[in-house]
Amino acid sequence: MERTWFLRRNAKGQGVLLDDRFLPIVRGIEVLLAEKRSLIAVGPQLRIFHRLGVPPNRCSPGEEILGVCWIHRGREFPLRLSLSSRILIDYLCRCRLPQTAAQIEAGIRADAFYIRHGTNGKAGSQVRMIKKRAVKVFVQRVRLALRLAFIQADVRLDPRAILVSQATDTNVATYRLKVRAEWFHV
Amino acid sequence: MARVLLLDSDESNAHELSVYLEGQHFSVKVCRDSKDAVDVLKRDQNDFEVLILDISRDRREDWEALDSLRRLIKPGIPGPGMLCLTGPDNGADVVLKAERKGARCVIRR
Repeated sequence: MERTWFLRRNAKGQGVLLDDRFLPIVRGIEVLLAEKRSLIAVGPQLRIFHRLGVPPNRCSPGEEILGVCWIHRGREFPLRLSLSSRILIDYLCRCRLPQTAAQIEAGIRADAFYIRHGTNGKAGSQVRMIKKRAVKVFVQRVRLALRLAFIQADVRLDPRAILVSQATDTNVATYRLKVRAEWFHV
Repeated sequence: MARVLLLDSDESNAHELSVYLEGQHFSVKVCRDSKDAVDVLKRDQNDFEVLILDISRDRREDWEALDSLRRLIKPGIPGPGMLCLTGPDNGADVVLKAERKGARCVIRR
């Protein structure tokens, strides 16, 4: 079989002659390493779907959080979440800082998007106010939904490393969602 | 320097690829069989960033090796990625099957 040789720079910037048979393997390794670097740096990618918006406004009060998908290698894996859990994910994705349960409750109660959640639709109430003492339960539910999506994709990711809970200087825990989020309006 | 664990029962293939990858400044550890690879991975999983294994549609032991290596990877963000190599005579179903198991697949030239 005829082989093609060509010049390429390696990781140290040196020029090396390469046999093109192995080039796809090197590319494959590079993609895996890039994927891993991205996971470490920004976490997995979530796509949050909003609907019932009034164009051209985006993420405005009255819209509904339709669903949340985890994006992995171009595929969407919907997270099986209740309305309250969807609200929690949306809120944590917007607020990048770690927050305590009390801060989460206060933040959701103060934000017009959540106060008027889904009111552009004609269906029943879509408004949910998450109580401070319930945050821990919803965190567990979100982690379970993430775990199920990871199992579906057969990816070994730990949901606790993505929805992170950290202790503060007291015994109060803070919660942070380590993901790259994007919002889609449908 | 990224560390690569290469599982290939064909000694000449494994040697050729490992020499090539080392020339690309990857550090390569070659294993001849899945038992050897499982032992290495059990000892120092965190040392490897990529696992490469050769798979074929008809060789059941290849898929068993993929499954046993996959089971060893502990959940956590910096786990090693898996790259399956397969021949051009294996169809798209092999690629899909490997990708459904969380691996990436490359068709050998």
